[in-house]
Amino acid sequence: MKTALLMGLILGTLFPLMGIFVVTRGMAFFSEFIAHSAILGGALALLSGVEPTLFLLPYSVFLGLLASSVWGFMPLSRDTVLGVFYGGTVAGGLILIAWKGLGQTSLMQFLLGDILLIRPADIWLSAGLLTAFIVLLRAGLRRLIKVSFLPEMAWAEGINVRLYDYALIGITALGVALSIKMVGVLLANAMVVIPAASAKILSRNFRQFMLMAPLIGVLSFTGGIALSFYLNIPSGPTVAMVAFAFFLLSLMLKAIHG
Amino acid sequence: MTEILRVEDIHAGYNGKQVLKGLSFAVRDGDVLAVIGPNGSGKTTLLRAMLGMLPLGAGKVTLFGKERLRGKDKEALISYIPQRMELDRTFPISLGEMLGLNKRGAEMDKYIDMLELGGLLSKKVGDLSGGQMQRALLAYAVMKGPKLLIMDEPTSWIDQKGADCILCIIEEFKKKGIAMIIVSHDLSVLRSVATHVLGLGHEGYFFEPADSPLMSEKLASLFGTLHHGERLVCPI
Repeated sequence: MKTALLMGLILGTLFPLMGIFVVTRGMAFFSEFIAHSAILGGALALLSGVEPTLFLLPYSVFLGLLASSVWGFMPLSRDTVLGVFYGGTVAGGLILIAWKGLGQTSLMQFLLGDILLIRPADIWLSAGLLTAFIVLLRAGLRRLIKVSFLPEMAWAEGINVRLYDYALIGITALGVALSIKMVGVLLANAMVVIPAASAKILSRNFRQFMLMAPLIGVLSFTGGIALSFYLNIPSGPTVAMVAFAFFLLSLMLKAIHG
Repeated sequence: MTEILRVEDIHAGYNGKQVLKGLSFAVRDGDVLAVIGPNGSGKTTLLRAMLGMLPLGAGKVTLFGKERLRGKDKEALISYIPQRMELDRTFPISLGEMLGLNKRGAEMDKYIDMLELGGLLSKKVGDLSGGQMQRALLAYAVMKGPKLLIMDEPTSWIDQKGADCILCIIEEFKKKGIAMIIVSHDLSVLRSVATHVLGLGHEGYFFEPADSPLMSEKLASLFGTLHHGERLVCPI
């Protein structure tokens, strides 16, 4: 339980901060694709005997960069490329699971998350990623804002917009891969989007947004983990439902106060 | 006078169609180059090609003596204000936060007042009009202190008072020796601040000093129509 709560604290901070820029750069479907592609990644990990998180980290980054290269250089929109890769990886994963009989229990844990799967190594890796992201934000927040809101200006003025996009792709891929054990494939993307969306409704400026989003994320993760532990229900849906409840609360507060 | 930009015989276009063919000109510090031309003549294409946002089919662009100016050098030396911005208007970020204008020095207050931005800095970007955003970007460019300022239709979203204000700021930049390239349909830009004019047409181009005695003839050949007041009446 303590391990899971600590993981929730880290992911609850990381995901909404990622989510701010993921949503601004129109990458919400990208994080959904990375999460669902883990069905194939997880199946390959189980077949090869490699610890799933260690397999998913390079796998997710590789897949994310591969997809971004395809939409960057082919006459296809980003959503089309992601849709194609999404279909291919999910189909491939499900075929492997059925063909090799990888087990209902493993599949359900993978799809819905299970806090009992979290190891100390997962916490160290997540903490490392959060630290790296905070360092990136502190060093390059002004540029990240420019890349996110005024990309043409940023590009014209010599900022390597593509590099920032690749960095965001890499961090998102790693973050989603690290979260699979806790929230599962089906709802990982929900935790990227929902806390950031709740904070967006309530925030008057960017500073408030940067503070409120991780606060809602941490409350969602820790509240959801505690509830899933005591009610003995899968952690992924519980965390996502608590986040959704915060979203509904945000809507009510906005409606009341304007 | 230092040469800021040299464009040599460039060809550029989209999807196999050449929009710019054999274009050559130069900009020195203190120059204000007005780029004019009918719709589709390649004005925005030229800006994108100059800034390295569009690959060249042929020719060379040299910025501050370098063929490949990039990174922090480019960021420090160049400011670009696009014609249109696709902003996420629902995003909770204030104007001051987005452009870093909240952390300005005292000398910036003069420009904030001139551009009537004082009351807007705390407003969400989504609540601003296109013209207000345009003025804010100009203030940001001032704060940055570039050596080359490139503006694509800076007065197109703005009323006459705002346009006059922008022309005042352009004059101030001119006195400071900042080179400027301004794409505009507005002849008041050409008449009041430009030192040179680059006219792009579908059949060719011209590059002349703004006070050239041939200017009226060149403009007429480019647009083939009468001028009414300060705005060109284009055939397209």
